[in-house]
Amino acid sequence: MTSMTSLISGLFRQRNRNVYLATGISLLVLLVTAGYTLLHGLSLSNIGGDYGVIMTLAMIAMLFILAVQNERVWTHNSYRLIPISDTKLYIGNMIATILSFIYFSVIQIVILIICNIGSYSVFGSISNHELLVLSSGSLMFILSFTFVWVFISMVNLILKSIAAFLPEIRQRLFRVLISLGVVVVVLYIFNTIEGFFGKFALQSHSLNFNGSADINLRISEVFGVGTLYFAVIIVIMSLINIYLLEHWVETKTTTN
Amino acid sequence: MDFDDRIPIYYQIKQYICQEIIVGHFKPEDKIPAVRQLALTLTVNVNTIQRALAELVNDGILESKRGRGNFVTADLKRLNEMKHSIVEEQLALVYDRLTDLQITPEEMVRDLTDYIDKRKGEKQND
Amino acid sequence: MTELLSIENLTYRRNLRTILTNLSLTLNDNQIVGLLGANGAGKTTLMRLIAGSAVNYRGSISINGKNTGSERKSMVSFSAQLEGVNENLKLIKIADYFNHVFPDFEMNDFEKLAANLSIDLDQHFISLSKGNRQKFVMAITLAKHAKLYLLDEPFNGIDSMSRKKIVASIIEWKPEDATILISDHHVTDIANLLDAVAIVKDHTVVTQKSADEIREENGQSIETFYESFYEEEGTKND
Repeated sequence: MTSMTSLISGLFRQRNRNVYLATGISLLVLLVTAGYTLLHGLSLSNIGGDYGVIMTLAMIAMLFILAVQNERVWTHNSYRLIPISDTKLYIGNMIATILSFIYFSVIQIVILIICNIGSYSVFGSISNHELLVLSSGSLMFILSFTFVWVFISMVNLILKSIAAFLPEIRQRLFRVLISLGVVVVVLYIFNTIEGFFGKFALQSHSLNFNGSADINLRISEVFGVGTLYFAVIIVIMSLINIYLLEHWVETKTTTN
Repeated sequence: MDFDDRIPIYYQIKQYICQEIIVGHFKPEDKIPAVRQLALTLTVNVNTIQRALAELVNDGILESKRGRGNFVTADLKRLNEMKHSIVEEQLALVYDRLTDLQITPEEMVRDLTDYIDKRKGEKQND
Repeated sequence: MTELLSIENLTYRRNLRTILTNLSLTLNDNQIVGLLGANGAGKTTLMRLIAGSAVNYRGSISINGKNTGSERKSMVSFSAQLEGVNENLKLIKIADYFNHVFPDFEMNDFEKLAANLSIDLDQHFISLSKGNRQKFVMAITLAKHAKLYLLDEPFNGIDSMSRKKIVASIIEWKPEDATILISDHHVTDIANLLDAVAIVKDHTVVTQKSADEIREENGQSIETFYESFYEEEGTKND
């Protein structure tokens, strides 16, 4: 049997090709931007801000690139035939995706910091609660991305499971109909989540910023509940995904 | 090597090894190639080679020496018997076929002698 | 000889079509068995079920008495296991991936196999000709040490030189006690290699017989024996 560590490192290493590629492209865009700025006789002082925009776009692109790679695992022999249980394959794949994303983010942040050297100090003086916001924020950020990957997997796995029971002809039509149904469910779920966070947003408005201990407590509370909420949804969807993977979802075939 | 697909391959391999012994490619007490090597040379399954060799060991044509491989027997009498029986097998085929054609034994001898002379002549002309 | 693969009452449906019905098959260890059948008879599906690529079936499939998917995966090397690799990679990188995630993959053996089959590992997968692709698939499949090898149409559409090299690799690299199930719709390629054949027709295995029995008892070539199952069908339809 394959160990979890070799599975994760194997998938992580594969994904890193895209991490480096995306980093290369974002640096290229940065260079072009810098070149354009200089050509027009402008100062490079705002290059840090420029990179902020580039980085945001790169992060969004990476979210989807990793989603595509994440999905490939469920339906291709080169992954599904790895001698490991479907539960471990699922968890390992998700962890590899998250790690790749963290790795990408770290590289991006390092580039951002380098771009900002000389203009202003990002981490000049960081207070206790800023650090808390930063770390809780990062956690929430990663969880929300994980949510997206888990959710895309769920939609994909449901589609794959249903498709196996439909006749081979008209697959396209059925797929469109099912996709529509799934989109409705998505909207419903997002609506619920939005409502949930809206409630918290209202609460935080009424926060009383007096002592830092109090602020820390409130921040922990807001992020803590949010994190827990996300985590619970991710776990529930993952259980569904693992069930579908084990019992219904098969790999693609090129012949027969 | 081309096999006749209607005859068990192990049987054809036995014949092949016997032939190699008769023509002197494998000499008495020679080690014959390893099983996998023979399988590769003849493009057949290792099991098939093993079956053929096991039967040849049983027949006393080969001797299996533990850990060292298979050797052609030193028993020349046995090898002569083997050669004799193979020749006889071929002659039996000719004899049966000609008997079916109602050729008498005397005619067979005469025809065979003539045929051999004819082939000799062809060879000299080449 | 001990029993390696045991399939009982296997039924598989997909897309409202019955692909296999009530199929039973038993394979012993240390055998090379031909899985013969017309195109579309379900040979690939049967292999996918054994390997664990297809999961939604009824009946039982066990290898060495183990029947969970992950246990079977750890004992099988399936020639379709390359499906889904990044085709833009160099062959050596793909082999690295297999070496990393398949614990029974032996890099040294792979390199020897690749050298025997004269595959240049600095090529990109996508640039391979059909013959070279099959050779690479075979090198990857045989470099993974397994109890059961499933080779799906390894000679499909390749030239005779590549075929000979692949056959030689099979003979040379089959581990002593392993069994190879090899599917083909053109029997003559592999007739000399086989210990036995299993014939797939009408969604099931219609017969299983040793090659020596076919030749000794029936006095038939494997090809004639195989074709006799499909000829009956042909005359019935006429």
